[in-house]
Amino acid sequence: MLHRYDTVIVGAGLAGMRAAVEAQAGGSCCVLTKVFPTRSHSGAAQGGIAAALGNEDEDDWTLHMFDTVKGSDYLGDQDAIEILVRAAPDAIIGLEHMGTPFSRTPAGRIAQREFGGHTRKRACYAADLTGHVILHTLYEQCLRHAVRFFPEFMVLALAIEEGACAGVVALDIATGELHTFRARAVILATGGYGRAFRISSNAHANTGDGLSVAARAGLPLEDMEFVQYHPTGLFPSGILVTEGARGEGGHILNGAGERLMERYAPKMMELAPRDVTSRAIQSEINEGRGIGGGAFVHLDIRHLGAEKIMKRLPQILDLALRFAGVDALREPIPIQPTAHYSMGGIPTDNDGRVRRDAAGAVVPGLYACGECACVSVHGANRLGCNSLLEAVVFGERAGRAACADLPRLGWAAFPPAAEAGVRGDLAALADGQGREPFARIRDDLQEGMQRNCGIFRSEGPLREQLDIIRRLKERFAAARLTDRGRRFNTELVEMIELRSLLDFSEIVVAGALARTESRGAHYRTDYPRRNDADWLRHSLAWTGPEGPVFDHVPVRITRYEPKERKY
Amino acid sequence: MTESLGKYTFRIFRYDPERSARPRRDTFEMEVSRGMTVLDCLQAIKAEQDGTLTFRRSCRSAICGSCAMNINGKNDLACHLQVALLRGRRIAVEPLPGYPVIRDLVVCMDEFYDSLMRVLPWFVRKTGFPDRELPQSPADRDRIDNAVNCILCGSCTSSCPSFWYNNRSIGPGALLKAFRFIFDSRDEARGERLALVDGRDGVWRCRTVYNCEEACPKGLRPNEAIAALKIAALKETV
Amino acid sequence: MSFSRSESGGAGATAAHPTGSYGWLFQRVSGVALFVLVLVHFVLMHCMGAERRLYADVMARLSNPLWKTFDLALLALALSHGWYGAWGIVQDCVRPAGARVALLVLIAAAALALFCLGLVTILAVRP
Repeated sequence: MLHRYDTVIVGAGLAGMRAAVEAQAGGSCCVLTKVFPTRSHSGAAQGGIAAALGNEDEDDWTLHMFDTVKGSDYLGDQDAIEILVRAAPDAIIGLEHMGTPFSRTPAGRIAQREFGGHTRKRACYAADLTGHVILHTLYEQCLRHAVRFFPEFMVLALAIEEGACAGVVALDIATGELHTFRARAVILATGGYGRAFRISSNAHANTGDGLSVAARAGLPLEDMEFVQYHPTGLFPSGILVTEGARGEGGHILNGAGERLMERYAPKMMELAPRDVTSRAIQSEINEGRGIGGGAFVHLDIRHLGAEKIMKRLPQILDLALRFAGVDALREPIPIQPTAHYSMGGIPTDNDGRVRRDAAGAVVPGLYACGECACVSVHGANRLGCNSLLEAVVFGERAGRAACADLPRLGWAAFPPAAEAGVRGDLAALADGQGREPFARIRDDLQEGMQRNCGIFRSEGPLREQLDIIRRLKERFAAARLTDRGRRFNTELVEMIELRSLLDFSEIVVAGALARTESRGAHYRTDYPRRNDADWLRHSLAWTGPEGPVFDHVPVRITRYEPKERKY
Repeated sequence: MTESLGKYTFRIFRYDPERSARPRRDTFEMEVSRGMTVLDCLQAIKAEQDGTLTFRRSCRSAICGSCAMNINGKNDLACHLQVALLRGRRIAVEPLPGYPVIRDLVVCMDEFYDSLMRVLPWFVRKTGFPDRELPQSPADRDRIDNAVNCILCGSCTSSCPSFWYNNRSIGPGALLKAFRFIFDSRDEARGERLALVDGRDGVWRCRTVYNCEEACPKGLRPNEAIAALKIAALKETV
Repeated sequence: MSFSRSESGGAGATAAHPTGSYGWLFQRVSGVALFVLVLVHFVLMHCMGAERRLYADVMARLSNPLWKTFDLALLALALSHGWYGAWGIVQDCVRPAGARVALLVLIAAAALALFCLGLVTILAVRP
């Protein structure tokens, strides 16, 4: 089936729907989304969204900017970060005016709490359901503007003809039919890829499909080696326990009952950035100082008192009880680091236009925003609360840029073979002659990424993981699809998702192997120091027949020269 | 954490109109260990025993609302229900009642989503905005806390007899959404929205059966919200 | 601000779909009133010397205008309360339009007949 829209947005999380609210004003617009909009993983964001509103502390955008630059281990592009933090207060007020029910101060202002790496109370929150309330508010705004949704449509290919984006080909999961969407502008907002790891805070849906689709269209991916591990994932599932728990005053305790951060970040303690805190916890675990020598430590919030916990952290109370069997009012919560966020993604300029090479040439008609994009505002390590902010600010900018560009963007010629090509791909997927169920391949990938490309990395295991991925790709080619139905074939969907995971995991590992330094979330035990002389630059990676091919882009530094990073 | 709980039997509703017009129930046996949720089991069954078993899931942390289904007779989220807490070793898994089934445990929730559209489901402000946020006291914010935590999983409306009998009935899920705006001190479409829920298919269809409160996996109180809406509508019209 | 999308939907109170608030309120008020009336009626008829009661005693009471009003109120409220309840159940549960209308007509006719019978009985007694 053929559809025509001026703007097609892929993904209905915060970034996608914020872009939709903007883009609908400039022409016809639709949103394709793999899960129903309010089921997007933005809704699982708990702790807050950062802005220097100054409602609870004196604050200023320059302070926010410095915290973010320092948090990024100086890999963030400072012009982009300046845009982000200067737009933040208005973005939050904009969300509030759309009806977002933020928690309030006694004076009736938006409440703000402390958060890791931020030196002021800057995280605007709604209890521990901040992402949830913003996601639902943006969905409501899309309904208000009659934005057309195609829920449970999975985009399988970008149509790029003569260097310009002409639309997408998508699978309607409910019917198994392919749909072609011609568009003048396509905005990718497909989220992250935490599902490549065994222990992950991410939804099952977070398989980096958008990244894979872009890479398959011959576009580069930027800084993919930077994967954020959140310090406090519930043990054993990896489900997120908000940093807000520490922002409110929670402590991290090792097996000896000590506040372990004293050894690693004596100044900021539990509110050090996530890379520092995750490494600290993993070190304690590796050195046998987990609880009972096990693979977890404790997050203790009991001293906050029942009233504050029930008011500000109700979801944590519920998750701890249901998934760890722990009453957080009376017992400490078992936690472990968990794969959480992808700093890397599809390279874009400051208005979401997708960059195609190291020189910064853009793909006409193609935009990306949110976690799937790499602007880069997070550099080597994102600060908590900056991701919701990025999704909202750059979602809006991408939507607005698409609108502004529409007059210049014609209807690019649609490659006639696009849909047929996807049909062939699907047939090949279904055609595996082996006996192996593909779920086992996925398990092996996640296990290997966890073991060999986790918080602590070094050459040997990374090389081993590259081999593993290459072997998994061979196994995948022969894997068996048992469900031959067309209607709501979730096995087919999972198989396509696994293909995405395999696609970009190779880039993650190869990038980690190539970057012979430690910066932010990327830590090499064999190169434990940051190396600004060689590596103060972004990696761009293309998928090649012999594996990923790299190029590099310098970091844009405007205000703050790199310094040693101490917390 | 990996202590085995022994063998469990899952009796699962199956329906695939491409293969047969008649639904059936399949039985799967599996070894369950402590800490496993019903969703973990469904995923294990799909991975190891029957790849065609079809269900929705995403966040697996009880916030996205994808995996609402009927487990041992009660609507709940498969992802947050520990198998160890269920009584007996036979577990019946059915799709949410009241919605048409697409395949196996996947239902078509269009009626539920459409019901939201009938209560003006977005924030309305007529008198304009200040430069900063609209002020709201913590107490006023708390008034709608229950309703803003709704994840739209559809469990409540699925359990409502008024909705089963009459799908024009707005249903508790959408009425909770109406409550969320009508009792938001910043919203300025109270009158319009009250008129929308005041009709014959609105709050007055509610027979206070309380199924919705029993069914809500997040422990929200749709019926309490409906009671407040009834009083508000009454004050408006009588 | 546009309300266009909501106007088509909604269960809004319009001429075709009158507000349900009056009916709901009536049901609550009549329910409370019936509780009192039925209690008095019950105690009077079944507890206070019911075994020795004669036809003449009942006639004597009914000739009192106050008791006449009491019985008329009981009759009217019981039937209207019952009618409204039955109407709601039929609206909820009977889906085919024809059957729904037929059933409602039947119940209305029965209610009307009972009301007339009661009216005649109560008013027929002269002091």
